[in-house]
Amino acid sequence: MRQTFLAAGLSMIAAGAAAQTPVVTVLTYDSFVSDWGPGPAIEAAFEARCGCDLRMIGAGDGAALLARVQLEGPRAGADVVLGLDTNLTAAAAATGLFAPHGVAGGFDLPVTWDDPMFLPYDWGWFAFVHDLTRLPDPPRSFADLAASDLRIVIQDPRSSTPGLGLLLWVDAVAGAGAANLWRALSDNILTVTPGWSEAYGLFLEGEADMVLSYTTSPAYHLIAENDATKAAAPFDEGHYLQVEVAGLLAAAPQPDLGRAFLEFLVSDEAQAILPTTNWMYPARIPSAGLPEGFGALHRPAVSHLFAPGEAAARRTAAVETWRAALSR
Amino acid sequence: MAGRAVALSPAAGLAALVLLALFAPVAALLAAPGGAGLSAGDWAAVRFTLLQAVLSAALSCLLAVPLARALARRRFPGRRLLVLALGAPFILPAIVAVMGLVAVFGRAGWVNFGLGSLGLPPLSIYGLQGVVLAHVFFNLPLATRILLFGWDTVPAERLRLAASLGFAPADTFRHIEAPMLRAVLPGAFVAVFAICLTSFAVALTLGGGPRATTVELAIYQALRFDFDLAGAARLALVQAALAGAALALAARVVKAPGWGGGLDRPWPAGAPGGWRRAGDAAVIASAAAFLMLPIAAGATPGAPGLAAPAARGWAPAGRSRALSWARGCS
Repeated sequence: MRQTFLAAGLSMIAAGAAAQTPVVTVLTYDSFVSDWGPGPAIEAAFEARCGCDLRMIGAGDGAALLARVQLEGPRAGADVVLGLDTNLTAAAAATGLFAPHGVAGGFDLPVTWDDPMFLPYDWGWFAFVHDLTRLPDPPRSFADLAASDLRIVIQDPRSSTPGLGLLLWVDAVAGAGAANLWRALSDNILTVTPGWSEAYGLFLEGEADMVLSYTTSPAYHLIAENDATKAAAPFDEGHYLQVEVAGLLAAAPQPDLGRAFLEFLVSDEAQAILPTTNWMYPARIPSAGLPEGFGALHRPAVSHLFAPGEAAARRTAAVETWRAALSR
Repeated sequence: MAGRAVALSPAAGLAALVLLALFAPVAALLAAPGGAGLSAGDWAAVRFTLLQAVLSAALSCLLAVPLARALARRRFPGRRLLVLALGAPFILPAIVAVMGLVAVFGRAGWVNFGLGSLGLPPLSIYGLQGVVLAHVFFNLPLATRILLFGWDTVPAERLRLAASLGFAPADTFRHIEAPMLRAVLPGAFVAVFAICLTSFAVALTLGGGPRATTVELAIYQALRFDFDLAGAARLALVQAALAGAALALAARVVKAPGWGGGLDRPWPAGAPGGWRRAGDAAVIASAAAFLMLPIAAGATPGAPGLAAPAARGWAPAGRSRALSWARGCS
């Protein structure tokens, strides 16, 4: 009983202390807030300057994040949503739940960016990653890949943002021929996993010759594991982009702090954290430049990216095409 | 009469509350705007879900019978530990278990390495066979536990009577064990079936593509990808109906053995020896190998198949947009 009172008293003291410090709440995807993700470093750096308590809440993957915002509407209680990509921003904007971010432009992206609602914080190219010791001579195009007897692992577009990115990549390079290309690729697809981790795990187990990931994945092996055997296969027809964005919720309880967090997210300090924690290119190259290891990465000459509205319009048909071609 | 009604009402009230808690979210989703009926893709998901769940449950239960029988009638050092360890796959995160299975049965796994060195064609773990293999790996221990419990309920008096009547093992099976199994097996089947009904990550990862779409994935897609709340609710109702139908069917099949309670602990000494003893040993050893090897492979970095990224605390290259891996068949 005494312990109960003690606990109650302590929690009241804690609540009192918290009431003096404003709380900024950021809804994001799970891997961002994991111990090995950017979350802990970003949180420490922002709290050091804002005099506030930054709370990051993991809410599944990117699509799950948007579904949660849609379900909770103005009652979400969060200030910032971090981790949507351009395949989701049209649907996100249509909810009317987001407010303009108000952060000045000027980004180092392969595309021009003028979305007043969503702020890019990092980006990358999708690519098939392979092991140079097992596959020194990777295919140079989707057609090459389809003609080969290589086995690849991809992610399901319905539950994974790289999976959806691949569908739009095929759509962008093959257009009306997408269904034929998928049929030609079907005997190369060893399996389709729900998320990135299972696919990458199968590849590292030696089950597949290549895995759908990012051109920046080899930098992880190089920097974190001192392993130079992984590479991304350059495709002549170009690579599809993923641009990750954050947005301010219109019903944010702390709009000023939320906006300050968005400013911070594209600042030198935060941008220098992202490349070696989220393993993507920063939206603004920090003054110290990119980390060593990123310089050796393949940078595709041709980038593909559907505008948000077009991506939203194409994705349902693209998933149907994919499902029909692979269900045969 | 009045007393009985009063006595019943708390239980009935509780049942109503549970039903309300289960179906209120579904009702709320159904009330959201959207048409009725399932698409062709949804029906394909229902068919695949049923097929894999029935096969997984049947095979798990079929294999659990000799395993539970061997464990019930043999006493050996480490038996309790083994029974305890059999529960390990059930609590393992799905991705760790899948990576362990892949290390043993995958293209670059131990089994195919062995087959290759014997000049035999490789086995593929990708497809329906892989899904069922993984589900049996997860649920064979569960089914075995349930059946072991069934064997424990057989009164020792019955077995003594059987022994004094000179029953052969086959007679013991027909007159004592078979009625017990009839009472216990349907429950084990429904438990495994219901777990596999909600399979998602395992079914997709080893299923080989959209052919292996389960109702659970279709629900996820409707809710998270299409934000089609009514569609998600329809699919959730279908899933609940399948589990309910399996439960109702099992209730009809179950037949109590009708021997009443016994007085002391079951299985007195006198399990058959000879080849049956060797057979039981073989069953226990191969089940232990089947269940333990993938766990060892999944947990040992540097083994021929490397451990799963998650197990190595790795997962970073950060792009883990994976779903959260619930246990078991998910």
